[in-house]
Amino acid sequence: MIRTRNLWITVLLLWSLAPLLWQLYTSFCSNESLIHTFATHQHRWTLENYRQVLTANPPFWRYLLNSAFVGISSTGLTLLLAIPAAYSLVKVPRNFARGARLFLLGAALFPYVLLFLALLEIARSLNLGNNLLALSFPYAALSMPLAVLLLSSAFRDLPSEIEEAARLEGLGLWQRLRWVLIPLIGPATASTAILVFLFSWNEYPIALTWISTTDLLTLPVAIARIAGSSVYSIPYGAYAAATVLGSLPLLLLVIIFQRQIVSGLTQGAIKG
Amino acid sequence: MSLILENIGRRVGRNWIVRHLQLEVAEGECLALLGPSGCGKSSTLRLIAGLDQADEGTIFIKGKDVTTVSPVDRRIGMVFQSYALFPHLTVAENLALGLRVRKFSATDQQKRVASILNLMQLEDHARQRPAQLSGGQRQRVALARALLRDPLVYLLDEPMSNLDAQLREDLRPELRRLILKDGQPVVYVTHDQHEAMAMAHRIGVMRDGQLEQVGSPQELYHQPTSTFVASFIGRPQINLLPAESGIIKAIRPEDLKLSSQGLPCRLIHREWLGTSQLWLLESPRGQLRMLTAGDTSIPANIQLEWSTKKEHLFDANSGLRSKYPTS
Amino acid sequence: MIQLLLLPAALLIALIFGIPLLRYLWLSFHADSVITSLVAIPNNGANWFRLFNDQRFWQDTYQTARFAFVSVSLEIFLALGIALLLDQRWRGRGVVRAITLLPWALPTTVMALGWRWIFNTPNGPIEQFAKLIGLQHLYGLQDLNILANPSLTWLATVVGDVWKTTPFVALILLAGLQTIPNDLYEAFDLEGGKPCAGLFKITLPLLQPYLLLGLLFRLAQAFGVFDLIQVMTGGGPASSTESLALYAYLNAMRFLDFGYSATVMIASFLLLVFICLFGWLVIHQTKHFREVVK
Repeated sequence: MIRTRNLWITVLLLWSLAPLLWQLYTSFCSNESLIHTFATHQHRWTLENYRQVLTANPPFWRYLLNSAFVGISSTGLTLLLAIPAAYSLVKVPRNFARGARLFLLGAALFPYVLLFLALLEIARSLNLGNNLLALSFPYAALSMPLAVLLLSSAFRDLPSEIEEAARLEGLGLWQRLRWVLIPLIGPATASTAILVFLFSWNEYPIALTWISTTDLLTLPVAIARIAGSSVYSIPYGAYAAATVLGSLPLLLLVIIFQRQIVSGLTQGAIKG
Repeated sequence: MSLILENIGRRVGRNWIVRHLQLEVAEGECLALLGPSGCGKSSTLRLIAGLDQADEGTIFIKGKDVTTVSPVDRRIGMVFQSYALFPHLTVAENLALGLRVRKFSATDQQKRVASILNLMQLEDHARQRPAQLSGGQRQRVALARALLRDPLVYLLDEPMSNLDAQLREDLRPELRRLILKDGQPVVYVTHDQHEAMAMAHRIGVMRDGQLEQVGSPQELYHQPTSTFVASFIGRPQINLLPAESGIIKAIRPEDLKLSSQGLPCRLIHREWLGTSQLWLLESPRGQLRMLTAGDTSIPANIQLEWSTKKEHLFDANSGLRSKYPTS
Repeated sequence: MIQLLLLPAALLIALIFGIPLLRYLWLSFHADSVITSLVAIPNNGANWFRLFNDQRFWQDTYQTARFAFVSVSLEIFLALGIALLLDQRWRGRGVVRAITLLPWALPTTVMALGWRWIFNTPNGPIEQFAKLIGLQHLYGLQDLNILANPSLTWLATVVGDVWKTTPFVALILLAGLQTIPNDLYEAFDLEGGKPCAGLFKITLPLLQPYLLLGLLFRLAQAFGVFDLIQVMTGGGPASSTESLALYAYLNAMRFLDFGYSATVMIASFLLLVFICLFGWLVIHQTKHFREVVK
């Protein structure tokens, strides 16, 4: 029993990690050695790929900063709007709330790629192109359905007596949110924040169409641009180095916030 | 009368969960609302607190009509069934939060919190969070918070039901002393008749959103106005015997006596209660509960009798009293 | 009053979801392309006539549906296995769960390009490995040429998608598994049930809502697949992996035909709604069917 389980665990780890390890391996290989993978080489190992990526113009960490900036601003904007909305969804009449939840679920399911063209038109007419801060508006809107669903189920799970006790103590709406309710949904807020951040960090089609200045590209677009440079000869070594560098922040994020991510996703599954 | 409810009603959808409720509580009086779950006793409490709005009727506190006044301005000291302590704050912070939003100065806050902690013997727990406290300690924190409100009315919603049976009995005298010490009216909701009798000057028995009977524990026991109150008050439960011409005869288990000629019965179950024992008997007129002395032995032929003076008579259709026992 | 708190979020959602859909509907009845100098001119439904006769659109519909159904079925199947594995208690489970989650957390484009390298001909590891065991001789080929062979390329995109999104489904199913009380299995064991039967008699029936949720979520996402295809194959070879979203994108950004692009998007959206409704009806029917059989 246990031996077969260990076998399956090994398979699972291999399946999850092998493609990533291959990128890691590639990133340290010289271009010549990549042409014959299994042959032996004199000059296989090199840091040249990393040097190339980090000294490019703009240097690679620039994209990481851009993505981090967009991620943080969209997360902030999402929470700012989603927390009051989620709270009020618990307080409105039940039938209205049920309808709203169904609508939000539909919006969360919506393949948002289909929106890119009209969003691009909006960006052009409002002159929001090539503006990282402006990107957080569509990102916040696209994350909003899931965020409101997650947070409102957290509010709903709070015993109503807690808020009533606060009311009797004389706390107004804002004070109740500030001193009692928001601190109590802290874990759900953290899960929501991390999911929104991941979405914004990884989003591609809107960033692709809204941002054209090289200095402002987010990580996914920057990496795809490397691929677009030539269809036939992609600098795989340099690219793999970029992949590894681009994955490291997320690796840390997943390891640190693993519990929040899991509870966010599973809460979404249970309550959605 | 310092708390008056006049013809209070509350509707959810089409159902009246509380209706035609008429109640007066005097200064320094503890009134218990007693009834089965879903009878509207907690809803009544929420109406008094202002957590829900009454759909009809008027509420007066100290002569002032507060029917549409917000919960804060009614000055209510409430203890919830779950205590509703703020789990992310320490005991001292829990107590200080209300003082802070009510704009007490920092030194004033500290002074008041310190003195209430002292009164409740909670000084050692000031920096702990609710999760680190025992059930009894949590109840004291909840009570301390209510006392700090300096309230005009105390409302307690099943404050004992989260505690184990022994602790419940131990805490009753202390709780009663604390809630009555300011001489304010107290409304105490419970489903436990022993607790109601121990805590309250008067008891209001509720059923289906209406007050069935209000009176002292003795009145409820000896002069129940309906079969519902008669069966709800007093354990073991009163025996209800259908009699001729639409009458129900009710007789307390302790008033049944063994005799040589009377109602013939068969013993089907026996419970030992220490100084007494409970017999469950099968008779031609239905099942009977009888309370008898602990040393009574079971006779070969069980026959029962009782004094007609001890009979309560009720109308079979309405369930309402038609004659008091003439004791 | 309290409803006002909903307003900002609702407005933002309406702006970002609602306006585009209305705009597409409007655009789909207008010619708006290079030919009209990017000015919208009503064209009496010509876009829709064109759509119905557009071979490439229907081809893409087929390809998108094929991609969605195959990858989502595989994902559900694998995710169930992973969830069952992660639901058991063993040392290091947390670490393995974090590692399993990793593919889902990485940007799609990053690994799309990674897969392109892995499937590269002749230098990628898969091709080298195939050469090592002589797989290409089976087909009488010089190379497998995975990303240039229409019958293999779409499978490569399926692999990329399954690798990335299986963790997401697995977590949803894991959430479902953790709601099943353990005493149910103990009672089943006491009745003398075989462990394998427990899976079919207890786990799967109770997991059904979670399976449906995962299925619905993934089907909708897979039907709108864009990043992966655009970066991994660009829709090629010979449009054999092109998805509807990519076709709409190409119409707008490469052919600069906004009217037709909008028409393709509205059509894709309607198709998706249709598929979801159909799927829901089928599920409803089978449920009903099962009750009748009982």
